[in-house]
Amino acid sequence: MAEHKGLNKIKKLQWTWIGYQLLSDTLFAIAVAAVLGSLCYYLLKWPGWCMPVIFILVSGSLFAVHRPWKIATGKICSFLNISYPELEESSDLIIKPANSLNLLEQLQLKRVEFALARVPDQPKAFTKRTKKAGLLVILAFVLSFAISKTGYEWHSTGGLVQCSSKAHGENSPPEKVLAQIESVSIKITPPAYTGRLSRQQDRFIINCEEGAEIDWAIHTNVGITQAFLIFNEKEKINLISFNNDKTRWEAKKIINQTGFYQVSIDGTLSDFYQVQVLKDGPPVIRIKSPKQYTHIDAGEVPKVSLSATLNDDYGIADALIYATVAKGSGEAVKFKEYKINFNTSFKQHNRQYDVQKLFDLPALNMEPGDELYFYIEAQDNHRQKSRTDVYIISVQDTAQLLSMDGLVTGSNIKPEYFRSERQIILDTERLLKERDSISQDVFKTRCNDLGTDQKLLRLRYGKFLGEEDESGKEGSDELNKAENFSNTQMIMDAYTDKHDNAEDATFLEPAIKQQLKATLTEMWKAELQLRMYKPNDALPFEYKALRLLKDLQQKSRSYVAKTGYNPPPLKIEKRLSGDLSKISQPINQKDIKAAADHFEIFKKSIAVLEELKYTPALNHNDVITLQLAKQQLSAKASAEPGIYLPAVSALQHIVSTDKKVNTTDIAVIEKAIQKALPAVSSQPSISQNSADLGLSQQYYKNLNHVNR
Amino acid sequence: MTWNLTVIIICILLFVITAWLEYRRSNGSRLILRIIVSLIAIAALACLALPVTYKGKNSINGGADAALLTPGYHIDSLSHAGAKLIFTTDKDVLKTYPKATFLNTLQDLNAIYPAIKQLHILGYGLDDDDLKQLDKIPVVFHDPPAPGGILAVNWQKQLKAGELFQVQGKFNNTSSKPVRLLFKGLNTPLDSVNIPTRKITDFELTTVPKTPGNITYTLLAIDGKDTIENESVPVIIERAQQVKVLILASSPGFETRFLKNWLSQNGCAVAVRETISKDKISEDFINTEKQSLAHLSAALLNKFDVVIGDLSALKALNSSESSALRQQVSQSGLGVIIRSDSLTKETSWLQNNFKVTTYASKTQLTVPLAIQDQKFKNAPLNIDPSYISNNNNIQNLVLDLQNHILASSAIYGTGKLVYTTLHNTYTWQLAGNNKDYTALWSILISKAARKSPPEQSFAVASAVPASQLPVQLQIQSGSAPVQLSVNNIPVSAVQNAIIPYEWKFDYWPENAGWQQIILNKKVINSWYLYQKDNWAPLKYASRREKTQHYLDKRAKSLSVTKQIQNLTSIAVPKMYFYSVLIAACAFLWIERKLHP
Repeated sequence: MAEHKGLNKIKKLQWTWIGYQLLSDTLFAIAVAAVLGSLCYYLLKWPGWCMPVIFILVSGSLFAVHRPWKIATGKICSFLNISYPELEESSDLIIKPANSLNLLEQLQLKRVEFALARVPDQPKAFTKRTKKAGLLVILAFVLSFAISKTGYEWHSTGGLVQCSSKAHGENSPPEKVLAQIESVSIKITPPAYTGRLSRQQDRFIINCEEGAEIDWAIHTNVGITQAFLIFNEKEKINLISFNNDKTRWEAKKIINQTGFYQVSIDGTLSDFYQVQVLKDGPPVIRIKSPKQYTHIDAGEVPKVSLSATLNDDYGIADALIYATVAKGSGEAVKFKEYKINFNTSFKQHNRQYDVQKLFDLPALNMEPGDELYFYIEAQDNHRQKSRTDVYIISVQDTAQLLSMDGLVTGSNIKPEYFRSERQIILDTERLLKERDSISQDVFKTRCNDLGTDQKLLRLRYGKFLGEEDESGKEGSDELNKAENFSNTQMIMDAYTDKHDNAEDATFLEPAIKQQLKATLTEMWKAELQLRMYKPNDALPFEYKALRLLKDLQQKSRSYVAKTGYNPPPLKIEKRLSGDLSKISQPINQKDIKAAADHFEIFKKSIAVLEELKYTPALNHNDVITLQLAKQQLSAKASAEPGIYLPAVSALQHIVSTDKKVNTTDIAVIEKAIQKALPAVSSQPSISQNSADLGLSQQYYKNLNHVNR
Repeated sequence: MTWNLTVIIICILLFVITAWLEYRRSNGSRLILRIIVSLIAIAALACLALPVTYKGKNSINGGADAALLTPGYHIDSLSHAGAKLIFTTDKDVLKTYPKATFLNTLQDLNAIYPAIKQLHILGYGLDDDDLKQLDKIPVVFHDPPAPGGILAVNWQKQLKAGELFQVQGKFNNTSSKPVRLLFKGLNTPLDSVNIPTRKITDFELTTVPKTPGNITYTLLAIDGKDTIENESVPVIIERAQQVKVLILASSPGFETRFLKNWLSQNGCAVAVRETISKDKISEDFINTEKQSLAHLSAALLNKFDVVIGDLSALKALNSSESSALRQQVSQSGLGVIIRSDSLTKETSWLQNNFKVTTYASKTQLTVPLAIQDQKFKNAPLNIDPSYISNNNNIQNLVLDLQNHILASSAIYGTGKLVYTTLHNTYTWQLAGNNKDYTALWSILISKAARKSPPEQSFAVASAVPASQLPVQLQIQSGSAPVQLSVNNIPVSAVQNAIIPYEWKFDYWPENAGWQQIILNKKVINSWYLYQKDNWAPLKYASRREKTQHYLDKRAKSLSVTKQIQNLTSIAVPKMYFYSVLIAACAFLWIERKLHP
């Protein structure tokens, strides 16, 4: 029993060890995966599943190297022998089979088992590695947390809107601030429509939304008497002192325009600081369906589905469909307007909406011949509206199509053809109406008859196109006559298909021929439906065929209005005499001044600056030129401060200081002016002769002389 | 001399004593042989002490070689040349190799070290002035590989506003990385080109300058991130001088009307004579005073720079008008732009160089045109399929894509004739395409326009004028340029003996930048003085070429004197005399030992 006890103990120890080994390997793998995975995920922007993959790879390889499950009892024994001297190097005896032991070993076994009982179940050596691994895991988590933080910063500098101002502050060069200013705190409160929170910054350069309220709080290191903010070199805002030391000054302004400003403290002006305004764009509406012009033929379902997407920078407040139904024609046209809501609610002010609407045309009191005009108007949080183009849906007017007006009065037409197609339509409609009152057989017969009519009509038109005649007059009597024996022409006529006769080909214009072909196709389709006893389905094709035929007929007409002109009576004696003596010759003279060059001052200032590079001294005229250039540049800077503001401050620097001019200042100004100047187009000009004492002139003269 | 004499006397005494001792010897055999051998031994001894020389050709390792270091030399080539004396005339080179002896001029070399056998020139070589001082020193030029960088460059020194500014040249890229040439003006990159590695490549950079005046552009060569060259490209941009135009038309038309409007908008003086009916003309004057255009006289034509007319209007001129026009063109340089038409069959002197082929079968074509000096293709234009046939006397101005000529110019006397078959250019204006219209008519009018009467023209004769070096300047003027000054420093010009209107003078400039030429208290022109290190590869390349050229030319004339120079006395190596002495002494010793 005791023997089993010892063996059990050893087995238990074995399993504990294996367990701890497995645990520590797993922990190692977790630590490695946490660090590597967060590196890959946050810095290299790999996908998130790379972390478990790394874990599986690392743990797999650790297991493969260590193979903890292969730890044998022998190894446990040798471990016990080393770690616990009281076992007297004899723990191996326990795992040996009892019957193989000699007397001495049996005695020793008893001692050993006694000692083994006192060996703890979890020796410290077992947990040592696991503890290390645990510590490593904690460290790894701390490290990956740090990586995730820096990774976020990386992200944010990439241009996320939320942290743009912060990121901007970190990346852009330090601002030049007046010496009196200790610190500045600018609070930007975006307008309510943006739905954004207010933010703080400690830089003068402002990037804000249109209509944002800006609060400046400037701390000075000494007490000052007065301070302003000067916007675009025009508008002045007083800073108000808020404490007795006169070191805390505040001002407030709502910014609607891009531009720049300066801080003025006790008469000294600061550098220019730019103000960039993000304008709120109007909502963008995109209609996916229907198309701009939609035509609903008779017989088609009178329903149109509208689907559109609406987008806006900050949020959409509302969207409506403005629809107008036009009824009637000519002078009797009537309009009726509808405002139709989308089924979607816009209360959430989302940035994007997908909207749908189904127009049920009869519900809008639309009848054949009427037209529906509609557009979508959307409004954003800032109450900016935008609307789409007008879309048109028209329903075919069957009544007009069936009217005989144009046909009777037309000159060169063959009315019976057209009446036939119209008749087929009328018959089809009557058949549909009577469908319930007649028997199935009668219905089918009539339907088939209509199909036959349609076929005949089609064949009649087919002749115009030189199509095959299907009348089928084979083996005619003519051919059987004796005098026609071996008449090749006649035999060929009888047994060949004759398409596209030369005569027929020139009968109609290609365009008309094409339309006629289209008509025949529609007739084909109508006949097909009729033959299948589906007069309901045949109707659209019949209508279409009729419409095409009518179009054809309209095309052949032209209208010339009657004109009335009474020429004055001719003087016969003057006629054909060619006498122009009393006609005076026109002589005009004008002076056209070339348009004033708006950029002349820039061109002049470039000349001044180029000179300044070599002789660093400005005379009075140069200073005036540069001052004027500065005025023009600052006007440009208020529109685009990012481009022109540095040049304005550089010009200011050159004009105001007597010290040696900085070449980088000149470079900045030149760059801005080059950008401001428009491209020059070439002009006709005169080149100069060389000063040669008339030598070349003499040469030509002598040459002429020689040639003579 | 005394040394030689002493040695000879001692040797003679020594021989006498030795011969006497030999004679006195008891064993008297081989007496003659012994005396001869001792004579040889003593003679050899004397030769050891005496400087024995012979006249012969100089061998290279025998002479004292010198090396002259010039910019761009390589330190390895110095050891290869194996010269002991090392000189330089360049202070920058001296800094890189302080062991070299500095010479103010090469003439010093002749004076101080006349014994130089051969002068090795290392580096890119010498200037013209230095080369002349080389005199008769035998020279070996170790031709270095071409310097890396811009080897050649050219651009227009003066431009009219709106003209294309082109910088063309050759770049030698010796590095293993491609080099980017960046052309900057007013601190803005305007054009760039990439130069492939290890290759000499032609390049062209262009821009249309936006501002008039003296502008310095910059040409940068950038190798990855390093700027390897930063050169100034100065140019003077003048405002366009307005042209006075006379338009003759046989009938009113859109082409004439649009041309008139466009010219007047550009501030040109325009007079138009249109035939509106039989013997009836309409006259328009814009930016010019009224005058009768009914009869074209030489005096009237003299007031205009260009006459634009359709061919039938020009043919319809009566004989006196026609001859006045012809005389103005051939003698006074008036330009005529002829717009072809096919109304009359008879030929005129205006058509001599322009043979027009019309393809009647073809309808109007819509093609883009290629205009001279224009980099980009312009918008398509409707043209009639009638083309001018090419010949050697005409310069083609406008072509279509198949290189059919649509406008070209030819010289007639001192004037120019421009012939065009384009009739619908106004459609460009109608389409709002002012750019192409302007480009086309600008080139036609500028080519034809009468050249303005000359005042002075000015040029810098030195290739790359730099400070602290003399610059050669040149003025062409009808009268002697008195009261001439540069930057208010009076200078006097010398007249060219052969070309009477050319005047030359030298100037030693101080500061880099624009220098003003002032004549009669009026600034007539400017020129640019480069920084000293500007265009270094260019200068080196030209030095290398000049040195090579100079030495090639000199080699022929020097070949005779070189031989005489080389026939000098050469010392006989002492080794021979030692061996003779030892052999003789050995004989005497062995002879005594064998026969005591």
